Amino acid sequence: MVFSSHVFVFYFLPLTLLLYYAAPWRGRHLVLTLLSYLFYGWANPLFVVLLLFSTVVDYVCGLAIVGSGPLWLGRLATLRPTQSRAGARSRWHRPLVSLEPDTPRTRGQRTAVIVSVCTNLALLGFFKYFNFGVASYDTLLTLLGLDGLRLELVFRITLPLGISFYTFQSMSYTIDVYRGHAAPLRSFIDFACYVSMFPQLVAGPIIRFSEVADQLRGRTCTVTKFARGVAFLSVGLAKKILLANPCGQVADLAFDAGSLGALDAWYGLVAYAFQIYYDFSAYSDMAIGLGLMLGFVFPKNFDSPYRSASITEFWRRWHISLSSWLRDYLYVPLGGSRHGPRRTYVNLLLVMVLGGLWHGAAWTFVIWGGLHGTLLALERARGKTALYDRLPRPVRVGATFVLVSIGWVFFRADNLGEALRYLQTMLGLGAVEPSRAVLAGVMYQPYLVGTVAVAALVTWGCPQTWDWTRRLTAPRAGLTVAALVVALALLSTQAYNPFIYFMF
Amino acid sequence: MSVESLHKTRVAQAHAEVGRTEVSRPVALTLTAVFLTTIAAVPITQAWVDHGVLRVAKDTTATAPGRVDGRSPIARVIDGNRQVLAAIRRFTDRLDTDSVLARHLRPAVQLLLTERLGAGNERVYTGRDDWLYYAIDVQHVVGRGFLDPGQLARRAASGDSLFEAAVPDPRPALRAFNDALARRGITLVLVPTPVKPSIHPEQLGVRASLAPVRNVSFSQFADEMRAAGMLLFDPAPLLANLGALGDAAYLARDTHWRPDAVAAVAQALARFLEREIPLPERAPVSLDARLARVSNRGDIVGLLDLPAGWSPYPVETVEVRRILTADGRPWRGDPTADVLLLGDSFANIFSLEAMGWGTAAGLAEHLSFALGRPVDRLVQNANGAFASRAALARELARGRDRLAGKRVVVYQFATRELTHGDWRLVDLDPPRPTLASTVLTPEPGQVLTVQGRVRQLTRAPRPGTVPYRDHIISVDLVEIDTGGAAVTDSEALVYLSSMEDNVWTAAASLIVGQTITLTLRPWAEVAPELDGITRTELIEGNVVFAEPWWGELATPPLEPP
Repeated sequence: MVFSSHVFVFYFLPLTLLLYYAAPWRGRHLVLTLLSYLFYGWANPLFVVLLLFSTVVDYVCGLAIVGSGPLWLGRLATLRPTQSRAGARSRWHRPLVSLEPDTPRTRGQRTAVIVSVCTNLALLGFFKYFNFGVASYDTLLTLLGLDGLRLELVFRITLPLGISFYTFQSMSYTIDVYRGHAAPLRSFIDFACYVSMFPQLVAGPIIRFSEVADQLRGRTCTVTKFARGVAFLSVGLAKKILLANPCGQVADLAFDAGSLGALDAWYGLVAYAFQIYYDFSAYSDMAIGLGLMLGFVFPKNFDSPYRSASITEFWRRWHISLSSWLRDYLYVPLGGSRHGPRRTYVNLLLVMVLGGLWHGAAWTFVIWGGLHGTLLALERARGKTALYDRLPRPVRVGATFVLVSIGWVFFRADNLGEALRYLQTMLGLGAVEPSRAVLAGVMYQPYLVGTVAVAALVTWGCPQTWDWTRRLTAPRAGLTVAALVVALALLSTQAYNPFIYFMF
Repeated sequence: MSVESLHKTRVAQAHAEVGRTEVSRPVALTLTAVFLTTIAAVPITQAWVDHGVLRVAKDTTATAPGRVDGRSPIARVIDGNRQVLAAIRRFTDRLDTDSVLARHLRPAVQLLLTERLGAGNERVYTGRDDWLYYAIDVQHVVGRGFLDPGQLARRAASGDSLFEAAVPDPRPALRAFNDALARRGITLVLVPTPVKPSIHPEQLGVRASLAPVRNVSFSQFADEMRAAGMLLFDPAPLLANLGALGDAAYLARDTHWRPDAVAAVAQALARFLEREIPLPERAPVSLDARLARVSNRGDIVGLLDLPAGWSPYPVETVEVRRILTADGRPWRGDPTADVLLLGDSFANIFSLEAMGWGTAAGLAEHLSFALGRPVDRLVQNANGAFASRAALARELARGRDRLAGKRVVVYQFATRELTHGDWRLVDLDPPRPTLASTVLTPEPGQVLTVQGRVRQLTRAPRPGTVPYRDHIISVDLVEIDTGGAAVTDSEALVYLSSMEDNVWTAAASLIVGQTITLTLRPWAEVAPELDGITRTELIEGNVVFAEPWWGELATPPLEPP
């Protein structure tokens, strides 16, 4: 189900709020879990089975890590085969506490976390990378002249919605419990609620367990929180409907064009840069807003990333929940910057390449990640400052935007060939066919040009959602309602508007 | 600062930030109340005004419950999942199409967008001088080459749990079609009809040109088809010439060409056929052309979904040359002719009354007039990539050899089909199916009132999402009661009108398993008027080869069990 859809706004959301607030406190997580499964199953009911499987595995592993849960799990975790059944039962009723962070772990605890990580990575690997692996293998064999060994499978694996998000989120639970950064949850419903919570289930932000652990045990629902949630949701909806979708129209025309000129290519690319930003940050705004309506507080996921003056700064502001996840669960375990400059650069590159691959199973995403990793390493080599740090900040911001946008070519293009062709066109090296003129006729329609211009104005001239909604005066509340009404009115004319990050 | 503390800081910052929210209680309460009222008002109004839209329907795609038996549990789960998914999509489609919001708010908003901002919607681009363009046509012209390997691969992988991907490459289907016809000594002539932006780019702000604007793959396609031994008549240069001379070749707010363009293309096609294919001598048919004026708003205006009676676009009036027989009756196709025209809505316009642009002045009529000989036709709106070829195959499978005595098959299709069409292979030599003796076969003049259960049926498109206003679905009706007891294994193929003038009929809401009462008459008797209307056919079971009936639902249809 898509937030910016008729069925979500006018049916699912009212039903959710009604049932959630009508339920007693203890039942709210069950209500939220069931509704989240409905939300998730709306795209394909079978996907729910995977979500449930991942949830069960991580829940059991979490208990095993702290040596609680069923007897065999306790044995597995603590490796105390002589422990009595009664002892195990009494342990089941003990409140769960987090492990000491710096104490050694038993083999059983290590096994449990490995089972969790491997299961999640196996799910992600199979459903997300199987087709890519087979295609790459076949291509390699063709290049080697070994056509007879190609697999050429006739079936394709369907990518379950949001699997990249919930596997990372679910995995973070067992890792946090293993590291001693969080106490596990005794209640399966509470844990299932954390994994499946619909506001951020399919497109993030990636909410780590430690970020909501306390809130799962207790949180407040106030009218102030609710009102700010409404403001977040309204602004997010307006960003998606009024900015992201029209910019996407321009970007689609440019990237799917048979022929286009250099200026068209740049225009299309800028439109895509705005589309992906407003599309994804809108989703995050709506997720945060919905969370607030339900009493949850989720951290900021975007911090005006296009105002960054360097790539390093960009990654502190863009999709913060992913970049911090990659930092804490990949970059730091790899050694981070603790083993000298060269190893740091390699780690940066590796993390960004894997981050690219996390986005999509294609070589274009690997290159996108590699490009960012290289730029980060170059900036790191300059001592955490931008390569162009002597330039005035507006110029640095502009240069960063151009570099990030060039990276988006790989992110948006269907394949490597298309990405290179697009880059060629941007440099004025593409062949221009007569159809380019027709393309210009539709790409530069005043309505679309105006929307791209407004997107630029909002990007660099308006406060971000967190700032805008901090002080909700009566006029601001009025504007918020107006934005909501206009967005909902325009939503009725848009039949198809999925979020870009749904495909990850 | 440690990683953990950094991380906790982020969470703490968010909490602190939320804690710093400055909003007075009255404003917070008002904002909350307005929001809740807004999101709750719509479903409450919907339930009050028309709760039928909120009913979750079962799968209405072609699924026969009888197939469940004997399948593995996994197959059953997948099939069950598919049915639930289909019901979900149907529910959301219905909300998007028929809800109070869709019916009342969307047209008003669209009017505002079109009038004030000159904006179209996802299906329409606006041009100068009140010209409108079908977005799919524009995408075909400006999009990637339809023979580009990446594009073909992308389309081939575009299926989902409910719908199979289209066959994207037109070449194998056309080669196979050509071969099948050649085996019977028939010559295939392809007539890829250019879409409006190819001929009239100037209304999109582009300088008019004598050369048509094509998809980048078109010349490769034409070369390959000619190299494969097919004849290809390309009307685009002629149409572009007409357009460049100042005579519009296409209607301003319709996807199709103007009557003069039809006549000019028919003339040129006739000369092409005479030059390329030696047709046997035949006594010339006596036909007359008479002028008539017809007016219409245009099919693209319908795609804008503007409020009824509030369209900012004027009605377009054109002069058509109706082709009449010597006794003054409208021209009709002749199954004994040696020329067969297969076509889509470009062949139907000015001929099929349901399109609203008059009758007897379409491509087949003018081709017959220009050739001075009879012409047979099998023409169906939409899906030009396969619909007319499939119709021909069905005719053959039903025992009506529409290829008997033919020398030429002219296959007209809109060029947009090359980019968006489903170029599935169609077998022209299928084994003759054996129909069960209980299949209800119509007799001439027969009219029956029956009750039966829907076993499978096809779906109607969402009104306003397709450039045609009418649609017919196919229903596999079983357990038919013709007045006495229901015969358990009786079966009939019934066509029902599912969309009329961009509004769903009751038949569009039918679901599998529903028992319905309807009046049946032989399809053959209404086919001359209705055969050209877009129709989706069943694909499963031998019933698809049965002689169809034309059905009219008794209103209201019975509720599903």
